[in-house]
Amino acid sequence: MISQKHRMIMYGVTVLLLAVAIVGYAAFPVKAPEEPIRLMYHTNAGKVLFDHQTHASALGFALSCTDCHHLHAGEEIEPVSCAMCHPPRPSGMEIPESCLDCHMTDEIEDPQIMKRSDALHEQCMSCHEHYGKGPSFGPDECAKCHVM
Amino acid sequence: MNRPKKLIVSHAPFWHIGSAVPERNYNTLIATLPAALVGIGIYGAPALAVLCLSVASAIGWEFLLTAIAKRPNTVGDGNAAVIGMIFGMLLPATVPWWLVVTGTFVAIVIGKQIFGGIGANPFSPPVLAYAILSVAWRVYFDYDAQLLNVQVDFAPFYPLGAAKAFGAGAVADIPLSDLLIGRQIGGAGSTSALALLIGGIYLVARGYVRWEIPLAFIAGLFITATMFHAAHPEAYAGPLFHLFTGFSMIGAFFLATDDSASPVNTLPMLIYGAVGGIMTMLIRNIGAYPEGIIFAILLINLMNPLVDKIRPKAIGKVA
Repeated sequence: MISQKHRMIMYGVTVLLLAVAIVGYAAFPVKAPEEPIRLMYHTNAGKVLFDHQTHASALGFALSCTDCHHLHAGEEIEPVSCAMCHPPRPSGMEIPESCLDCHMTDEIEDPQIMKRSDALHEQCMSCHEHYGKGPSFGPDECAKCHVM
Repeated sequence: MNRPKKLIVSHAPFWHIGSAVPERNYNTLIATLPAALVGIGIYGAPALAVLCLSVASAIGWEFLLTAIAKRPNTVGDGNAAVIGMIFGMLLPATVPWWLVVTGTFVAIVIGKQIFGGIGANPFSPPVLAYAILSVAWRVYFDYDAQLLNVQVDFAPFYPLGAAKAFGAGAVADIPLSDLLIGRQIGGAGSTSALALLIGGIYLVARGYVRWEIPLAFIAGLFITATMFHAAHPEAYAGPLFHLFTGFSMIGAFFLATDDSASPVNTLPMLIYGAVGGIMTMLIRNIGAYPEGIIFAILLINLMNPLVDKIRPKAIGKVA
């Protein structure tokens, strides 16, 4: 039998759990940290999961920031998201229009800003080729990184 | 010829065993606790928030629906709490609150109350809710995408997703012990195969779950995975990997064993469970989804009335 006692216990438990849930959602939201842990690129050729933390940490591949991110002209600033320069950019972002907005002419070969997909392909593949590690790549090997 | 009596029934009064629907549901809740605690231990406060909101909102929907429909208030039987708990355990720990509340609405209202309440639902309510929501909002059920900002000290990708996309080699380095104790990307309370096994064995030992369904489910899954692995070891991961990852254990003990959506006789239970395990592996290995349990269980739920027709013949004749 479902007694009044059972019902009252359930009401009490519900109120308690609801309070814990509200506090949990309000006080402990999962925010993107300043230095990314993992990144997911949603591309026309499927999604690509990139483990930023393992690439950057001393316990992982111990790459320095500038192995992948550009140094900016004249001042030391924190590495920024690839999408800050390489299109497609977040909506509303019009600048920079040229690499020369931030880089000196002797730092770059071509002032035309590369598409993000071209920049990332070049970055990932050249590094993996250099170290001879990680997924293989090539015209028929998209599915080694891209998940359809 | 003197034939022995086959059925002996004593006259009333009968003595009630003392166990009823609430005890059954409260024991199921107890059985989910080890796995839920492991999930909270790994994912922290967000997992706790998801689980609490899922249970609370499921009870809330049950209360509202029974009040609107002028049905007896069944909140006290604990079934809504069980549905909420199991649904929450399947979700990624970082899903937004509205998805949890919508999911429990689908589970309680569309999965259960529309059909007449407890005992009348043709599908496992949490499975139905997960299936509808995962089709509607696919990105929220992508564990890799949802858990990007969660710091973990184990393989930082959804094992079934990696196995499907990149083959068995991508998951070869994941220790089975990690999968057993829950150190894997997955649901807020469904990652620890060991904790779920403990909860499942508790339910079987107390008699709330019959052993036939989980055993046949696990056997079907294990044998099918072994055959795939033997045929193409580099493409398909091994049977133990598949048994200890994804929703395998929660599926075998908590999802497939839903009271009214599963058969009651021994042979039908064995067929029901085995088909569930086999379909899971077919969907995982050659279907479109990395995790096949949800649709496999919906399918066996559909099959349930059919296999339930396999039953002993009634004694005597109809005049």
